[in-house]
Amino acid sequence: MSNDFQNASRRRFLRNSLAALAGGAGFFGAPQSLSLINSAWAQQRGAECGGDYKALVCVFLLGGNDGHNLVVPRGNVEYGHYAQRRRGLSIPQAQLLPLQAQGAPFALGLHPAMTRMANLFNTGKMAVIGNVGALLQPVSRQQYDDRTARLPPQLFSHNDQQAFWQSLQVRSPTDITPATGWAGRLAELIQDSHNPCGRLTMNLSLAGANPFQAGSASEALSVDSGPIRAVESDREPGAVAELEAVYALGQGNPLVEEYRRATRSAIDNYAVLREVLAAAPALPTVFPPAPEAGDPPSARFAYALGSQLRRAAELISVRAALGQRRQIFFCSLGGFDTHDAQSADQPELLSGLDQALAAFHQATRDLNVENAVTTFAASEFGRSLTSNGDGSDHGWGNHLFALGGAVNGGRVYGAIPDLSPGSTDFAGDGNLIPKLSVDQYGATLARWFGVSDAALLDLCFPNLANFSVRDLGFLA
Amino acid sequence: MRLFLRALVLLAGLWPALPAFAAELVFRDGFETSLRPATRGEAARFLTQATFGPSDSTVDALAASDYAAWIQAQTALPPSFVLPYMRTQAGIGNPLEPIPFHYFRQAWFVRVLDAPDQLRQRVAFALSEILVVSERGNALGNDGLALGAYYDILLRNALGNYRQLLEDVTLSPAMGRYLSMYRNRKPDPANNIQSDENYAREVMQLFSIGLVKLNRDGTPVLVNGQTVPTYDGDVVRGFARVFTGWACHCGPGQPCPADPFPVEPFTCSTEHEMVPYENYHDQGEKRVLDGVVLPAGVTARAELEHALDILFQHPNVAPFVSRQLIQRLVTSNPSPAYVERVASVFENNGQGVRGDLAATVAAILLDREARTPQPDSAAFGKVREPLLRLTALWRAFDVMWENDELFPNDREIHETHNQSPLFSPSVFNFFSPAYAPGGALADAGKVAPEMQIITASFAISLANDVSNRVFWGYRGGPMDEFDDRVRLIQLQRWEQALRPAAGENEAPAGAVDRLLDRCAELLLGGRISPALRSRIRSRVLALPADEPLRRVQNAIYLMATSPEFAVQR
Repeated sequence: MSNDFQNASRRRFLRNSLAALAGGAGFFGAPQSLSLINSAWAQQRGAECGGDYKALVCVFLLGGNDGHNLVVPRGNVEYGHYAQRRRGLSIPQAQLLPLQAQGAPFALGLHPAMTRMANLFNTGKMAVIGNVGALLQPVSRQQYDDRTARLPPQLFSHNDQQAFWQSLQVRSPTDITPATGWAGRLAELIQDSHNPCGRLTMNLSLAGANPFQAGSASEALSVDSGPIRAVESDREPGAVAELEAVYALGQGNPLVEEYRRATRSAIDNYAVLREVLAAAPALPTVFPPAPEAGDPPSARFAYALGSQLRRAAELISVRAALGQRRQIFFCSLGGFDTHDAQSADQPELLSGLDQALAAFHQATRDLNVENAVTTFAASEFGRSLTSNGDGSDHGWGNHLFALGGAVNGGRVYGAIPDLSPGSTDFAGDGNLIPKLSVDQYGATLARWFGVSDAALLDLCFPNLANFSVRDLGFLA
Repeated sequence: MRLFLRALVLLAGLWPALPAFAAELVFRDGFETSLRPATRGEAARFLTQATFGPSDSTVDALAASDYAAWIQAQTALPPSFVLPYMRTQAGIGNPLEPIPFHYFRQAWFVRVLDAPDQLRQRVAFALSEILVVSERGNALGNDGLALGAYYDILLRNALGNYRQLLEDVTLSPAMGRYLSMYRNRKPDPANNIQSDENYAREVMQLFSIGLVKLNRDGTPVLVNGQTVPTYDGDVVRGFARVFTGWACHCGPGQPCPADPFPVEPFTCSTEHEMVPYENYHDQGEKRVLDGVVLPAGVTARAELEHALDILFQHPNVAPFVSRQLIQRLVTSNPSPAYVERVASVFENNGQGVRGDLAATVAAILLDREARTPQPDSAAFGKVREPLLRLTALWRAFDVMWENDELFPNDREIHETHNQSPLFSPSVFNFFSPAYAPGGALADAGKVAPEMQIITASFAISLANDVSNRVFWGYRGGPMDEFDDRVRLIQLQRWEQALRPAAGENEAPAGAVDRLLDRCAELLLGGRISPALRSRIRSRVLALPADEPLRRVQNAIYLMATSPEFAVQR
């Protein structure tokens, strides 16, 4: 069966399934049971346990990282504009780490705390995605300024933009909490075709509950970066069996039942994790150690994120025992809401990020999966170009990056904006208007991960159809 | 306020003298809610909502009184503050001397376990999850002085007025540093510097009015099927310029710079409220909420008062604050009618006063929806916050300790409970009031905020924590001799009641059932499913009768780890 034929028949199948579900997809659409559609599809074509392996690793920078100081124009003219508009927040030109960006219209530099990432960029392992942000459709400066633009709900609000970034949709016009996240939908689309033998859910969170990995009929497993615990009672072991029996009893009150179900599932999943991790060889990679008194704050950040990424690497190393051909990891690092003391705090945060990411990248090499693991940065929004004295405020468009052996690195996708006083990249109120959407960014990652069908990508990324470029091209 | 309290006193005897609102709270639609707990279980259920957990003695006290009188008596108690206690414990006399943060955790546990003003303590803790500051982050690391002073603001105003609370919070050095209003200055166009928007944005989004216009019942106002934003970026920028010109107070003899703005002065007080420095306050005209224009030429304090008045008078404040307080005390999914009844009292306590928190809290606790046990199908109740699970277990079994200091594990309580007072990961609290785990709950449109922090690993560690407290941390047990800082539950009288009489081989007749009933009263408000009760009973009876302590421990362990205990109903 040719690929074209297969895709066409899959589209037909999907169309019929969607019609059967009788609910329109899209921004305000009711949650669809993607896994239902998909499992029926997988049954038609027959699924396999073995095959290629891939992982996506989301590193969410909570608070809104200041992208204007992550990737900075280094050419004299462009740097001059930057320094002029960023009084009190600007990084000295000579300290910027040169990026050898192919095809960039002017010289660029990376934040001086990101030495390891600059090296990975210059060796082609890392790509910068310039001016990406939350959009429902392309927005012009005029539309934004005269308030006719159709916009995601509650731009500039941390929690709402974290939710939107991760979900790209809302429950309804009156309830903007996320129903499902795009990683949750992505997992449900390919669970049966790629992880039919998975002993755990494809979505593994190293950073607790998140909208990103919530599916309509699946959920993420939160994995602690420390010991994987079991319910135990060392002085009265017999009581634990009784507890487990209590957790087998269904409950009437939905809150009680949810608590029961969540705990029951935790006990079962952690039993699998304990068994599998106990049999795994130790990871050879050195990750940032626990901070000690007197260490700079960067040590704390490196450890906070590094511990999550180390556990992710361990879970990658046991992918065969877990029966997983596909894994999606969610990690986060907090503290990027630099309204205050940005010039002191952001370098520490970025240094910690740099150390943790470099260790993780090395781990993927040590595990021989460098080309199979793509790590990507996320953050709810960028920050104001204008200083508030010693910090920056909530913004919109932002610069992000992707990292890994499959990344077509050493390039900027999209563009670093014009920072001159007359720039039309910024709205009248000073906000940077994104040129690329999170839907496009995510769809690029999802296509590489295994979803090539256009209709399925549109299900996963409900605003993608509003953009002409469906793949930003930063992945092979 | 005093009139309101008197009304509550009269509630039981003199119905015609009641202000109309109080009558409506208790008797409405021909429906009568008992003023007194009918059973010990009902008393315990009320105390689960209003305190850090019932104990036999507090149940007895409430059973001998009635709900309204109890609230009145609680409201009249003086606040048990934390900062003076922290200073004493740390041996610090100088009011400027920093205090390590762990003294705050110690103070918090001492107060919530032991202080008589339980209602105030419980409401203050709820407020600390709405008006959030946190030791985590870059601003307040290990600053026990600033954070202890902040918690005392919450304690002082917990049963006071929301307007005063909002002002005290706004001017507190802890909030000033946490949300960077501290040293926020007027715009400097020549240097392309604007005012800091942080506090302006969050005081609206989180502390007063929220993002969209609300009906009094807490549901969003809809226009053509769409919600209506309460403010936009221009309003944020307007308020950002209002909140300029505030920095630290410098007392007599303190080595502070005359102008603290250019260089951060660490010698200033982090306890005393911030004070205005007019040179840094933006005296220009500002457009704020709903087109209101603040005139030019107004001093920092006068303008701040005006701005807070505008926020406080906004129609959203009553439902926005009321709904969240209901969620923290009683139930995650209050009916719109319940929210509206409470919001009405927030708007007017019956004496024309807006923002009366004592009246609001009383309305929350005395409401029919709170007082009448709801059917399981109503999804009534709330998942207990991890910290409140622990305090409930401890208080139910008469926790005692010899040394106020915290045992090291309890000092790092967030590692096992994913929660610790004034230790939220961000200003958005440990969990969102709108958090809904996927699946049946979300499909039914219900939220379970606390589940956001009870992830797999913490679901397991919370169960194991009960094991540690019950099988290790009891009077006479292994931890008792080991360390005098360990909090110990006291099981002696429970054990005694189960001990076979001399020459007998079995527990006294009915003793096992009494044990289960009394544990269920304290832990479950008397509402235990037959299946759980039967399972625990079998377990207890299967253990040797001559090990009564072990029987008691097994009963408590299985009840306090059960899903039924995990949700207060």
